[in-house]
Amino acid sequence: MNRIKWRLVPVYVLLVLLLVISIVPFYLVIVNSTHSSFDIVTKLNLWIGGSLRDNYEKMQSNVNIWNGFKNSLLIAVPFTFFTGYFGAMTAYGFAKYRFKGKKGLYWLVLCSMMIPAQLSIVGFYQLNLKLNLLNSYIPFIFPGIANASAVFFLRGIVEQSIPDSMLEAARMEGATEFRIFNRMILPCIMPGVATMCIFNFVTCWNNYMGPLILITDNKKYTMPVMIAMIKGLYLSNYGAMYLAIAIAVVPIIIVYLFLSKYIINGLTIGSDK
Amino acid sequence: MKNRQHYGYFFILPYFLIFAVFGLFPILYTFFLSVYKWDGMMPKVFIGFDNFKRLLTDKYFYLATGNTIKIWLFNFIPQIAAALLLSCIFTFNRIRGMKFFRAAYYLPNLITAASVGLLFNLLFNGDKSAVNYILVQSGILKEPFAFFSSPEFTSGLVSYIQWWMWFGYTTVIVMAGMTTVDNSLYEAAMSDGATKMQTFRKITVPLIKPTLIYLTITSIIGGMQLFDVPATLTNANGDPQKSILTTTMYIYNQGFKSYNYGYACAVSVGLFAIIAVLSVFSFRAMRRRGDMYDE
Amino acid sequence: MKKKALALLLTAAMAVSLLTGCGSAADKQGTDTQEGTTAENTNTPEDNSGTTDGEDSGKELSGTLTIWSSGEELGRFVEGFNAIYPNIKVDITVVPNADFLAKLTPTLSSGQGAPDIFTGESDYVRYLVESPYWEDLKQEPYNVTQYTNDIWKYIVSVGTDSNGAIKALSWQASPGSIMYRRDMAQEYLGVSEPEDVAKLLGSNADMLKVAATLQENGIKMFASWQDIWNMSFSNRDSSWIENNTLMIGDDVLGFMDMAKEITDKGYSLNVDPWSPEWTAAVESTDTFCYVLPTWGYQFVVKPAADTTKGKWGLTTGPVPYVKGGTWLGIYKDSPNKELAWEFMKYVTCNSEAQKAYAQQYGEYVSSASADEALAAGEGEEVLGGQNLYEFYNSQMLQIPDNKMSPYDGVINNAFLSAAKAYTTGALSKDEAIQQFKDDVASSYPDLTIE
Repeated sequence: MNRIKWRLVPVYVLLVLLLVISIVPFYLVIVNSTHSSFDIVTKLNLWIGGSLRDNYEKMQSNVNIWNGFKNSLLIAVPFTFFTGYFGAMTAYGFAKYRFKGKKGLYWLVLCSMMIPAQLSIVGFYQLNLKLNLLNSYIPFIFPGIANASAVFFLRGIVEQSIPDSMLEAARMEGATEFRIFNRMILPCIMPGVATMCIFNFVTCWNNYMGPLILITDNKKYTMPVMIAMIKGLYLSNYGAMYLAIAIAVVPIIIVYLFLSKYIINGLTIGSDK
Repeated sequence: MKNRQHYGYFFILPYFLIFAVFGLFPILYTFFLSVYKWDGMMPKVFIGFDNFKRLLTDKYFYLATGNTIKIWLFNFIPQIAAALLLSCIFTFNRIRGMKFFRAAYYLPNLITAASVGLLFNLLFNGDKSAVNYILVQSGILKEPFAFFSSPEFTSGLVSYIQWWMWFGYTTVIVMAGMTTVDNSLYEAAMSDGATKMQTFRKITVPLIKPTLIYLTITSIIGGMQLFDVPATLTNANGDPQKSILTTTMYIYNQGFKSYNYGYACAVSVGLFAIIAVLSVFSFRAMRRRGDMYDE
Repeated sequence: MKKKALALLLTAAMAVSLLTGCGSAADKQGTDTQEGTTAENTNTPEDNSGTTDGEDSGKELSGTLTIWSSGEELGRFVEGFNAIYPNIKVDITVVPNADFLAKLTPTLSSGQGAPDIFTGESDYVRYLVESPYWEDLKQEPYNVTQYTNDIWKYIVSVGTDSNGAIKALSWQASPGSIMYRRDMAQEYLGVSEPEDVAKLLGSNADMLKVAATLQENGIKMFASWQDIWNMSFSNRDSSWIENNTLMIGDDVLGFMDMAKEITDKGYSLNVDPWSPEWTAAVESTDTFCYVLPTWGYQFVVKPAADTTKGKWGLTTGPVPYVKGGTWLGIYKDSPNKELAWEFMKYVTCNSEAQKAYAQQYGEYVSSASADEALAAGEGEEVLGGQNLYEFYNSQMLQIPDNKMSPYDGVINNAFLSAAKAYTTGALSKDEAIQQFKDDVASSYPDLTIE
């Protein structure tokens, strides 16, 4: 017994060290959100300060952060749902069916990830102008259906965890293809889907350039755009900016906590050994 | 049951419908503009392949791409190593608070990359910065170090930040890949007297190969498009001495600051080619050693 | 799907090519940017004609005006504007300055989605002025020349294109100053009043002498040597670009040497402008001055001064200068030009409006009559009672001609980056100059670089 514990000491040291590394900058954001800009730039703040109210008032006086919060949720939640469901669907289509042009179409999926996004934003603007979708959330929500990285990841998961015999058996029983997908496949690959959902929720929540270029209505601005505005508005108002960053992080943590139980399910190996 | 194979088209149809509407045009538009001289606003002039001729001899393109690859390598290798190590630890040992640790490691990924750049700037910038203060007070340094005057340090810091932001995510992905590995395989191996390390190397790693391929390819794609952290860490031009000028920063600066929009599109196409080559190369290299991921 | 995409692509291409324009930007790059400026340096206002017309008809105008601004200041005019024009709704979108052009570019290129009014920062305002996107305010129905007499000449010259069309104006003017600590001056230099301190800073050599004195007492003279570029930039022998050629004069090279000396001898904090420590130096016990124009007081010194309130002063260095600013113009295809002009007139040409604005926010404004009226008012608490309008008015009469080019933002960054590499010893002077030239060549391949 003792031997095992001693062996784990360096492991725990490593884990705690990584924990500190992961939390410290995060902690600094929260602490800084309660300090004045001047304190932030002149001192190393390690504990909560007294400027939270000031920072909040400064932040709210020009941007309505809660409105941005709501707007970001309106985009990120449906986007994440689309990414999870349709990502799994497309991945399943690629993984378990043989059809003409499959290889070419799959490479198209992979290649579409490789074009730098910084510039295609102008094309994206032209497109949405023609579709009359400027100032709309549709251009940010629906692309969740065509999320290449989710398809890429989930295809591997489907191929690994769904044996063909399982499908054959279901087909013998007369299940339709879509029923098989919805009732059998999706629950089986839920850990993978949940992982993709968390990751894509974060990506979508933090998307800055797209909403900045396509949305001009102040009331429709999202969190990252507002954070950039606070920085631009007050030039050196770090306190209000950190408060906005801290607020922006909260929902992601909630989503993570909510979804992480799905990831952990099924991870039994080792823990009972 | 062969007649059911065409259902594949129905499953992938929504993806390609949406891709055709929202994804394809911006990409084609970038390719289209790469043969024009255009400032981004006024009428464009067709110049054939002049932009690409310039690209081939553009030393900043090579410099930026070299920087990007360097920063990527120095964060990707430690990232995979850390993720495998942590997955190994979490899988083969009973770790108290494992869920907590793993959740906490994912935290750095939650803050917007642009904010992360600013935060680290605040920590390191200047003689009186927090890090200099600590190092001098604790006697590790005799006098403050100008961190952002050192190309090596700044480039290393970007790699570190990238590592820091992504090692938790990579661990989660690796472990998600492991959940799909059939438990009976481990039990069989263990009962045959294999050590934990052998089990990991001989069973786990080959079985999570699709996950590792996924991580490598998406990391190449994401890493080669690195933008936010280096753009906000120093002056957005990659200082000191352009050590953290990445290819996408170069593209952004050419397109939106210097009014060379057409050329910026050509650089985008060049970057696309490099990413595609690197991806195919690593895809092939990784697949050859195993046979798990055939088309 | 391919057909649809192709059709979209073609329509987009057509829309862009249909845009009216008069020649490519490249044709205009070579034009001397000073043509629009009056030959002699007459910044003196000729009369104080404030605006009076339009105010009676205010209630008849109605509609919604969209404005994109890279700063928050413009929004401060809306309340006063709406008092005269209650039926005009002013919608201001503040776009972060770093991405302003990225947001503007796609709307200008497609011809749709652009606001009625948009701003241009000094870094790129000359590019926009020479582009065909802002209305010429000289023409009917604007006839802006009836108001420009009261606007500082410099502001008008920056907004005037090479054909003499007035495209943009500003509500602010940004003459330069040295913002220094009176208490430190008294203690280590023996004088504290602006005019006395100015005498000690009569040339670059004198400035360095003072820096040496302060150094002996543990005081850094400058927050950052890059700040001094504000002064040197305005006093260059020529614009960055003359006849489509990059100009690197001896004065520019001399600045590099001065920067090197300041760094080597430790006369400045080891930081870039706008970095945290630079901002914090307002309240320091070891930093003497900032070389910043009007906006430096408004955004740097005034908000941070707490224990140093009353200890600051504005004085002059070796040469008067002017740096920065934000201009605004009316989009050429705006459907609301009449409303846009009323707003623009209110913000940039209305002496009374600017005076009210300046009184509330302490910003130096573009209307000479407003600045003169304010010079008679009370002084600033932070500045120990010194009246900033009085000080800057005297500077405004002496500032050099506008030497801005369309590419100043990028070229200045490239230059300061190269100069910094030289000061830290990373590059030799020749290598730094070469790096600067390479950077500019890469950004603007059509320029001649010798």
